[in-house]
Amino acid sequence: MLLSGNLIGMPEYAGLYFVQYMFMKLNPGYVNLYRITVLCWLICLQPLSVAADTAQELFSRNADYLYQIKVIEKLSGRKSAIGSGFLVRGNGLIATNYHVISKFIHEPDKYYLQAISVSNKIESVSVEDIDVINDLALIKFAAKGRPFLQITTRAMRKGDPIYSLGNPLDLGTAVVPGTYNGFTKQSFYQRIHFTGSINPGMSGGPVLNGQGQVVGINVATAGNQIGFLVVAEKLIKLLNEYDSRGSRLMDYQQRIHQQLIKNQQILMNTVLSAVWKTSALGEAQVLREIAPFIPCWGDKGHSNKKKKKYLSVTISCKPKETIYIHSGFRTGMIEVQYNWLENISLNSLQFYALLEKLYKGAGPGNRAGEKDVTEYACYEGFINSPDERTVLCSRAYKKYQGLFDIIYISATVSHNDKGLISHFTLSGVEKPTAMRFTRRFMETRQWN
Amino acid sequence: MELIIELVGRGSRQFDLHRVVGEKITIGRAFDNDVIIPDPHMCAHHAVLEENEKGEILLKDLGSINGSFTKDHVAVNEACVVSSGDEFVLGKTRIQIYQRDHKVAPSIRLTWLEQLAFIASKPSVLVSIIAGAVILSLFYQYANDIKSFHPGRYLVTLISVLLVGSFWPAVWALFARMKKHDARFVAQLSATMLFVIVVTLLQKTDKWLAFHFGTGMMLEIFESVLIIALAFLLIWMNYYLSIFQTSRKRWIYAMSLTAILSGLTYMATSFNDDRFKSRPMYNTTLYPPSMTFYSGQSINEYLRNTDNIFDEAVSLIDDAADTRD
Repeated sequence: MLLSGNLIGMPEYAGLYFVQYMFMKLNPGYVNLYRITVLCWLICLQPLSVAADTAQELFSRNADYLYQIKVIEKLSGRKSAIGSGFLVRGNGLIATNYHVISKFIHEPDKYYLQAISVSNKIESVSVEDIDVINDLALIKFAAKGRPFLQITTRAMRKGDPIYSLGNPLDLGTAVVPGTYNGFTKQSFYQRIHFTGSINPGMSGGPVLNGQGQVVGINVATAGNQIGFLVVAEKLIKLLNEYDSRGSRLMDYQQRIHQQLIKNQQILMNTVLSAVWKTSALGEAQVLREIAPFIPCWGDKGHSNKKKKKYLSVTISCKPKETIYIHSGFRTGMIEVQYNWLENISLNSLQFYALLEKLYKGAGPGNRAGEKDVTEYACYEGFINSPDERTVLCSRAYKKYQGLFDIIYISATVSHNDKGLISHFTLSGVEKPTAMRFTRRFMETRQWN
Repeated sequence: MELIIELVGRGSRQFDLHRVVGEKITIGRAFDNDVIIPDPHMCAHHAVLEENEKGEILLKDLGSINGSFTKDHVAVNEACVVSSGDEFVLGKTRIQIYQRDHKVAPSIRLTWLEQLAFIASKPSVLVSIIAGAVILSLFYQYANDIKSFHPGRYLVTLISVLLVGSFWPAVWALFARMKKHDARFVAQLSATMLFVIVVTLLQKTDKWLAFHFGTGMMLEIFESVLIIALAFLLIWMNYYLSIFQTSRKRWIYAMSLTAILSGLTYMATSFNDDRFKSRPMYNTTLYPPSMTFYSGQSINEYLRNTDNIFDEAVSLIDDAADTRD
């Protein structure tokens, strides 16, 4: 029912994926955002006319720490994904984005990794650790005593100039001056909001302050000079974990599994421990934003502008970001949607045909394929007060045992010419939390 | 001498019968023959039937180009004794020769089916059945129409119901004509339309039952079996109306055709079933309160019942692993 985020851009540049604002269904105007993104993308390809002195200096001083990361397909020997990375230790440890190397993580037999320095020296690298939640990865080639970039967690102010480095579109290393704009609001997987154009291929590249210290890592863009950076603190945390373990990661899937389980516990606890407020939608009481990172949008529509046959009001709540596992598999989101319908001139059969149309549309909130998840298993039934037809479906994750995607949809069947459709989806949750959420969702909604 | 000469067409269908009295009975294409057969492979004076001293009937070939043969492809040269009921091939024409006292097959009693077919052929019955089918389909379209009313859309439905509904009976009528029987298109059309009405009502009832009692395996099987049985009934009737067959033969033919058609339908649907479904499959019908009766569950009961779906989903992991390799 709800649209899921899409990768925009050339597929081979998995180096950077766009965060797409996903309210197309509600607000047709947002469809344009897609086009705007593409448009900006072209403009951004023009050479930057303004080059700050600091940028020049920063670039010449730090270019040696930069690497281009390539995921090479074994059979064709050609690159399958590219991104950027930078040295964080003298022993050849490079930080980059998880999504840059995700192809290798899922099919290590099919791909291998390369890190290429600015002076075109090719190093073969191994994966040391990953953080799928914050989209980070540590990779390493054999080296000793290399100079590396310092990471800082020092607080910054909005408007501070910062500099993004990377290899956009495989065009060569570039520096992009931009502005620090604080942390993203309404977001669970917190990012730094960067004003400046980052492009596919720059993913995993460092973002430096004026002193040449890493303050963030390029990760995504929403187009129109809006970029997102992984907070440097997350990288420090991952490095500390890596150090305390003292050995490189052996089982990638197990690591992803652990991280997904832990993250959904935090996510669901945050959501379930909050007070859920309700507000009126038609005659019903429905949930307001259940968490600040799941913002709601509303829309009102009629069948026909001149002859109004029915009234339909929609509230749709959806997070802006998801967890990227691989290009065909996202998880970690909660969606809530309500439709209030009032009849104007349809007969009751026609009105129920309308209700049926909305009721039958329930689909997954996250993208997932046959290799990742099972098909849905559903239970359908009637609930009383309010009288509803309700269906709850779940599908299991094939590689990450104990995690499920959930779809719930219900339609009231008690009135001839009024109706409420309630719908939510959860992705990547454990059964107990899924059931707690479902119970609470069902108990909150009221309409008599 | 008095003989009955039957001209037999392909598929053992007689198409002409002559009773001839005379000393000699001549057969040929010329107009001075006793039995004139317009077969271009036959000679003007092809053969003659005569009685000998012993009272036997003889068939003589008059030196024709293509000759005369018995049923077993033995050439009739000079003469051949004919006994009542014997079959010969002259040119390309098959004839059967009977004595006047030859016993005919017992008469077939008209069954209630023929009466039914007669009723079905009545224009008033046909019109009311077609009206039923059309009203039914228009009603369902109207009940699901949430856009502004537009007569054009309904006209399209009307025409498509008539066209699609006439196709099947037209095929059978054509088949009957090929077999040189009555087309009986009206009766065929009535039967087909009636089938369409019954199947539609059955499906709608089934949907309603599924809404109340869940989309179980039982209901699905029940519906399929019932539809196949109805299809068999229709095809049996189609055969009955289009050609004469023994009852046994009709059963076998109708059953085979039903089996083939339902097998093809099943194959077409199961082909789609193999694909991975990323969307949940559930019963999407909803009815206004006046059309339903149900006892709802409390939230607690409902949630207790949903418990299974997790295990069910997990069990699908193993299934998938088994089929992949």
